[in-house]
Amino acid sequence: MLHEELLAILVCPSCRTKVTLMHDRWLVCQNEECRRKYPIKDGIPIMLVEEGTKHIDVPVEDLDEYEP
Amino acid sequence: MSSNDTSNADTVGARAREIFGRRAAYYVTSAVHTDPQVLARIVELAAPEADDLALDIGTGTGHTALALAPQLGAVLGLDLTPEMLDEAESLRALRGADNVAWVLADAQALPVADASLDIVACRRAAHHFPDIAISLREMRRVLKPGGRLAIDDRGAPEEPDLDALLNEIDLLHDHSHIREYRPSEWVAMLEKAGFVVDSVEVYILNRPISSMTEDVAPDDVARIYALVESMTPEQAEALHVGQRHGTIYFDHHYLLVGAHVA
Repeated sequence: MLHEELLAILVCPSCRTKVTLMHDRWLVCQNEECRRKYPIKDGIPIMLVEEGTKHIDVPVEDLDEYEP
Repeated sequence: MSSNDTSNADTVGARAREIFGRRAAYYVTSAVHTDPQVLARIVELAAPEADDLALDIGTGTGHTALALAPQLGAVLGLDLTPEMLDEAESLRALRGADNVAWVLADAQALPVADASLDIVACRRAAHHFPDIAISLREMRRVLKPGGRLAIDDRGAPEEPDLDALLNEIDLLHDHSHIREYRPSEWVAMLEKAGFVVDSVEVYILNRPISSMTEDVAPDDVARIYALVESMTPEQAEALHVGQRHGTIYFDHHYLLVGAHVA
């Protein structure tokens, strides 16, 4: 599990806006223009720009059900 | 090492000995030469304090992050290879290091806020970075004022011919290597990225050629032997080429660099 202090300093690698933890398995960029979403797999966030780009169009409200 | 490698090494080694007429002694310029010593020195250069936050770039199986962990607040270990991080996580769980987490990310686009870290460490990874200038700028960006950078990497001698030779051998050994830099290059690159360089420590390991040829394609192994064989007597002397235990040994250059953000 991600350490709280470390979670606080994580940003989107594309636009460097803060990310928010959702459903314990997504880090969502808070920049409305960016909307990149980074999955957490086996406790490890995948914070590559191209990974975040794959999930841009997934609505935040659907993330709970969404399986990448 | 396969029997083919051994016989090839013996042949080339015997020739090398005949040519150079000497047997190189084990050669180290620094007290730092085993992995635990290098790790301990990185921790010293990082100078961790109780509440510090650290990032270990190119953490691999997590050894540097886990060495820092007991002495500071929390460590984030970053790597581009999921299999490495899976190993790192097993090791972390085994050691019960609750203040360490991993992230899969690119050293050229760190997912970390500006001026948020006290320490950045990077061990044996920088020679893999496609654009070292971008990675160093990223390291500078994420460090707080006064933040420390501790680097360990394969290096190159200052002499251009030896630099070219060792870099060529190492590229044949691993095609994912980009470049091993000279100490003077490290200083210049770090200063350009905005760091104040505190120390550059070169250490040299006289290692068997098998360390360069294991798991390497036969064509590349042949090229490595050809390069070692093609050294001038001066180059062979400078790199302490010699034969021990039935194989060729020569010097590999490494360095430890300490720097900080003003």
